[in-house]
Amino acid sequence: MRQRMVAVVEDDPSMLKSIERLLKAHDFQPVTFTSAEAFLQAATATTAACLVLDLHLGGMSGIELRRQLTASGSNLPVVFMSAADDESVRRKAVEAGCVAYFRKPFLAHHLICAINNAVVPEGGT
Amino acid sequence: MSGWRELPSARRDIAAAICFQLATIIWLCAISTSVNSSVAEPLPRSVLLIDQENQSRVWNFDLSNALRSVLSSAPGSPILVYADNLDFARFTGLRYEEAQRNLFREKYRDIPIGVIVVNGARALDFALSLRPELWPAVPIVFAAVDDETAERMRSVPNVTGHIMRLTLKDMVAAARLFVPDLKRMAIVGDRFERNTFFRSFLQEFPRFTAELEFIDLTGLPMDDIKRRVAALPDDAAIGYTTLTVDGAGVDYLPREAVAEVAKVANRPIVTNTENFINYGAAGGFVVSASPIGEQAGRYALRLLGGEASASIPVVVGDFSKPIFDWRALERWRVDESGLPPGSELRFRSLSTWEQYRLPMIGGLVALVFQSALITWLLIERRRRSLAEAEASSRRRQAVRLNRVATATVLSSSIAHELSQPLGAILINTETVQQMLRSATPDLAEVDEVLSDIVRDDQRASEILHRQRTWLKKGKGTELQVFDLNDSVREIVSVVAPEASKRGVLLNANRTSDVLSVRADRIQMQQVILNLVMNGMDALESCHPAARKLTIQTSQSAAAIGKVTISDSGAGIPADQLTSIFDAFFTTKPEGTGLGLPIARTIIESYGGAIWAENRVEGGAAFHFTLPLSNAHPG
Repeated sequence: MRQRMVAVVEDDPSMLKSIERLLKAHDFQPVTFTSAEAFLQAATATTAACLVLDLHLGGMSGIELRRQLTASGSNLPVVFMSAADDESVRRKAVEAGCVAYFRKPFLAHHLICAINNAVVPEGGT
Repeated sequence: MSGWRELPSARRDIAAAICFQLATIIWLCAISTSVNSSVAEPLPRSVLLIDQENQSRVWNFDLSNALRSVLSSAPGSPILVYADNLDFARFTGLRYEEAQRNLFREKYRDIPIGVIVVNGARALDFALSLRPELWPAVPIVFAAVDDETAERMRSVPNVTGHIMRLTLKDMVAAARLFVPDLKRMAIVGDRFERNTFFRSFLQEFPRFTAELEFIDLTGLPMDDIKRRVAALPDDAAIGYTTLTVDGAGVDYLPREAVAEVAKVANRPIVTNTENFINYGAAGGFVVSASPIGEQAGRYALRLLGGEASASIPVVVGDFSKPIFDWRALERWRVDESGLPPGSELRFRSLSTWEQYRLPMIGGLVALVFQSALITWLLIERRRRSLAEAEASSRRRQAVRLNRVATATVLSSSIAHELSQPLGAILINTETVQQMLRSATPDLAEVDEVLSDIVRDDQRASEILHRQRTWLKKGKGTELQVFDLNDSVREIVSVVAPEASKRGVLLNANRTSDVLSVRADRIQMQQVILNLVMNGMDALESCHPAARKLTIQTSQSAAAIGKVTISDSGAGIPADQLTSIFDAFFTTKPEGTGLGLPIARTIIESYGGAIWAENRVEGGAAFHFTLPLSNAHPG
């Protein structure tokens, strides 16, 4: 079960709800947060199998969160989502480390694929 | 005298004789000097003017006036003037003459007279007849007499004066000016025997018989005269001498007679007397009374001054002058250039133009100038209203173009925003597909998902609508009441992506007070956006970690709302703090220089103020204020 827990940090309510529903429909167990701070506070980093992270958040940015995770030694795989079409942001995101980077709007099954790839190696099944 | 008694008697006799001789000599000398001085004694300062007729005739009136004026303006003690009219034209007969003489005897018995001036030959004879008894040594000056009378006076002592010569020659010459091919002359006037000054014509007539035929209308009754002058041939002219009594015995004032004749005459009337030109005569070489009176006055003054009359010669007076009625020249088609030099024209009927030439020119110039001024003013007014219309159209265009230019900021923000609902829609659609693949799809849940899709679609269209509204031309300003804080919030959300892209830390400190303003929402957004973009541009050159942009709202006074946008950039050079709001002022290579001027135009149109200053802690701060509205935001 732990393998199917996917954390989603997204401040847009529509996106958050649709991703949550998508994950449920694909038998994942989504845990949703609207800010990076809320995610850190909940300490889900240790329990989630994957993190779907929006880059443009109010408060702490997605990249900042990613750096913190790296600094704390977490090997939680991260899938980035971005609303803006910005090359420099993308570069930074990739440098910070991610398994996938999606520009909104993106096809849902691409996200599912990326999460499966991130989760399966850990699961080992 | 005690010495006298002591002298011996013989010596006494001789002394007495010498004294007696001396006394006689002295007495004789005294006598002779008194005789001499009585001879050198000046004449009494008085002049007696005797007029042959009366003053109702203009001639006599003018003559006596001219004489009086010369006498009154003479230096020395004032000259007394006595005047008497004999009225011999109206009253005739020896009895009347004698009565006049008696009157004079009575009147002037004890009056000292210095000089007598006579007007008319009969007055001259009258004066001469009375002189021995009333004025023995008094000189007589005749104002103007004919040649014959002057000849008679040659032998008379102590008489002098002027001769007035009126010639038929002058009359014919004048007639020829009007009728170049003159063949006939009708003569109208008193019979020549009675006509003192024109008697000389009788001698002149023979000289003209070769060229002219004379029609003698003298001595005819007025009706006949009028009949004849109305039917004269084209080669004729009329010569008017002077008429005092017509053939029927009716008395006339000469000027009335010529007026009557002129009414019916079909040919031009020439004359030798100036006054008749005022009454219908066409002109001529005419004499006037004033110069005659003046000359008589001067002779009188010379005599009063002590000159002997023998030393003042009788001369022919130069009394005539060519004078013409301009209207007659027009009527008889006489060319002005053919007139003798020095001719005077009377009754020149100046056309309105000639008469009022200067005022008319002045008026015309003023009119032209005024018309030009009015036309110029109208043109200027039109130009100005066109310019104003163009200026306001340009302003609107610039404001709109500024919006278009900043729309790129907006569009990146919109792209950012649209990506959310679109992203959600896409995911939801695939989710529905996934759900429907199941053997037993939960249709209630599918319905829910589809509702979400619809809602997100609406959200997307609203975002697009906002972009469209931002870009649309708009008829003008649409005033609404809203909270300035909301505008700040909206712009902050719009520029947030851009700010994060540029690494700018964006802070918004909104006051808790509601800053209710009445304005166009989009224009307010435009102002705040321009200032924020300006601030962000200023931070480009800043160190990435130090890029900070703060928007602050506050209520700065009783009814004033204030927004401040401050950056941590390099600040503004002190000499540019006001010029940055001027159009086209920009330091950026790709800048339009329109953002700040447009912000100023908008703010000032609502009665607000906008200015910039450098912050103590570094960087620039832009402030704008707006009057707050009493109404609540909608």
